[in-house]
Amino acid sequence: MALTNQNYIAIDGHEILRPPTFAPQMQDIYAGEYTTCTGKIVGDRIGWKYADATMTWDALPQSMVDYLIGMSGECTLEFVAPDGTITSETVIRDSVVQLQNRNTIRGEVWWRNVSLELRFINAHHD
Amino acid sequence: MPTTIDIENAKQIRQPMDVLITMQVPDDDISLTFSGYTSTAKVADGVLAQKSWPMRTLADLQGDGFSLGGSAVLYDPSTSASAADGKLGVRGNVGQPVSLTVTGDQMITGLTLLVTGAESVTYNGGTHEVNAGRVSFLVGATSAPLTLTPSAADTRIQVSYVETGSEIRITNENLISCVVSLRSDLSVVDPTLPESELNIEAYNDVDISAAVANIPEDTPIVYRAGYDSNMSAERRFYVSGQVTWADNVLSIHAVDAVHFLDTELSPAYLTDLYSDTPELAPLVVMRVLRKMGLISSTPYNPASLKKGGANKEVVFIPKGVTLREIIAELSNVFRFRDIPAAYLRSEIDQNKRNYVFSYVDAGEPRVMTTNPSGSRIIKEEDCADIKKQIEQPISKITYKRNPVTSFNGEVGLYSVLYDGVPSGSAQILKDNGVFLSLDDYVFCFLIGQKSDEIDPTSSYKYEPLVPPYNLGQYVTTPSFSNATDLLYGVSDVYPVFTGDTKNGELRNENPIYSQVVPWTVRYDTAWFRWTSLTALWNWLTSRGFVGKDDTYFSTDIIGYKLNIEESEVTVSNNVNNGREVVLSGPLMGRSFFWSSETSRGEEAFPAYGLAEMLKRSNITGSFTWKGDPRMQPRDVVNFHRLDGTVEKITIETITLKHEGGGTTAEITYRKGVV
Repeated sequence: MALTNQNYIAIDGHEILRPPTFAPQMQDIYAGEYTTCTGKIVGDRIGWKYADATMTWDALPQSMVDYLIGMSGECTLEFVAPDGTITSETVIRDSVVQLQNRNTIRGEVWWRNVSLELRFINAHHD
Repeated sequence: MPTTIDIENAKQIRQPMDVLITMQVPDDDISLTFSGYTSTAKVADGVLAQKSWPMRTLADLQGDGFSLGGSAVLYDPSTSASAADGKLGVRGNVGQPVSLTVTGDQMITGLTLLVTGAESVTYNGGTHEVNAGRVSFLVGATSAPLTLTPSAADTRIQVSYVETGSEIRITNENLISCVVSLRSDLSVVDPTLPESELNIEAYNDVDISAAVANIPEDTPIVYRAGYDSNMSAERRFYVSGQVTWADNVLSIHAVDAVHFLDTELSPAYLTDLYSDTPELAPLVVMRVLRKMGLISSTPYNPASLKKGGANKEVVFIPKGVTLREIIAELSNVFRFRDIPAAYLRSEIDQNKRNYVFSYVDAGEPRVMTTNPSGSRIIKEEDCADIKKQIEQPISKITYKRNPVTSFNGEVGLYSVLYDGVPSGSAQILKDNGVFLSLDDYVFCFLIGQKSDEIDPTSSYKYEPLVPPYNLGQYVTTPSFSNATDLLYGVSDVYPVFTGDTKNGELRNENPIYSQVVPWTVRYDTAWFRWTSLTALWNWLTSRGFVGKDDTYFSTDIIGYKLNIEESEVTVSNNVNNGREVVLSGPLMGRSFFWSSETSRGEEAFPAYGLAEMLKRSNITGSFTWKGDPRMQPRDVVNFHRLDGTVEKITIETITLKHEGGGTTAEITYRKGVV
């Protein structure tokens, strides 16, 4: 399912509230690196990838937390990139899902202070 | 104007280099049949094996339309395919895929299709893009069902030709690692001609294990690296050992062409000898390399070295020594730099006092006959892992001729002037028993070891040649009666051909043997018939085959003490605590360079070469450098040190590593110009 709302992200097609501080950063990938005798690092920039990120939510409903807990192996993360385009990346969950407080609001279970670590897999060569 | 690679190498962070490796999997002459296209084709005659037949241009209201030039014809199923009428091949419906099954009478290693209107070909789950109307991929089965996908909704696929053989193409997209080891050997003592290597690991989605299993050794593989607008020259390697396939990873080990030189010189490589110029050994080697297709350049042939007037040429090539050993030896010692005028014979141009020979393959075979200038620069500040090593200096080199006999019976590489028949007449015996006159004929010999004991004071004496050949057994058969009719074996000599050389060209070629054959009574070696033993002796001594009793030479060459005696050449300097090395080997005959009766000239080599060896620096080093220096081993560069000094260094090896998309080079060198 394509992402329909920029206030959400999607993990394997399941929409989840976008973490308020979620702003994936692009980082260069280098290869053939070495440090010269004068301490200068020399290398080839072979591409870029999104840096590993921590996703934190003040609160998430149980249904969305279930999607996070269900992440296994490589997953597809869709999100709206800073340039406004919907971007799809392969990620793996790199930590357990941290769940601090459990609340019940109008009969629905909400978890407070939810967080997890994400590792982006894809490398881009443009 | 700096090139793209120079600009990138100057950056701290560079764009990654493109690597392009192609391997042509050979055509095994497989007979193909074509089927399975009927239901998906608009029209087809299935003629896909006749490459030279043109595709018939059909009037076509779809697809490519039709030609207004009258060249398009209406489809007529009754017109058979022919060279004159062209062929239909297999043409699909507009915007529709085409299926085609190619079946071979034996396993198809790979296929190449010429096709228009198609974007890709799918086989066995793998998709192969059509590039410039051509697509090539590995098959590894006797039958290959193919599906061709059109490039657009309004194009019609037209397959015109299918052939066996394919190209494996490895690029940054599928390359895991590629290590290119380019090597020379700048050792002072007994260097070799080392092999350069290419080691590749690449990923492939499609299982090509069956095809890979049939890639034969010595399949050419071409490596290039660089940037779109500035790729390196091609380096050509040859598959060595089995190409392996495991877990979708293709592993290839390839070497350069040096291993082709692990052979004795064949007369077949010498059939284009010509001219009235006495051939220097390096020139002979260059001719051979060119004949083998390893180099294409014209050998440097200094006019000053010509000895005019005689339309004769005699080239002696060693037997029992491989071309690789010869080249290694020449590359090590054949270096004449600023030869003092006193050592030049009068007919040598005084301006031609520099001549070197060095050969490096490294996938891009190259012969250098001039001193490298070393205009390139490498800055130490760009390097890492900088190491310097200082060997114990060499203070004395003694070269012992091998074997040492009573008259210097070395096995040697000779380039000997033959400028006239010695007193009396010399003749050569063909295997049909007919003697040919030496006059105005070109001779090319393979010469091995000289007879050990030719005693000029004793008539009729001859000794066995190189074992197991036995001269004595043979000559008893003809039964000679006196010295004036003596057949004398100069050596283990094989004539290759005779012919006259009028106007500098070989004419009336008259091969005696097309190849070296074992010495037997039936295929006897060449024999000179001398009218007297004295004449033979004179000829031998004048040509440097036999030595003299006295010490030849003892003097200094540019500060190096030189002593030449019958059995050995010694060159020494006054380096304290230096080590002494003793060399011995089959090469380095003293008629190498001047090859004349003037002993000083003759003896300038190998002594001069040995003196050059003593001059070599005992400092070696290594460092890591960014990217591809676009250099060849044995190139000379200016190494700008951090302290501001500039050292000239000669590159010995370059190991280029393409891994993870990046490139680095590990370089070893010897200080100075080797």
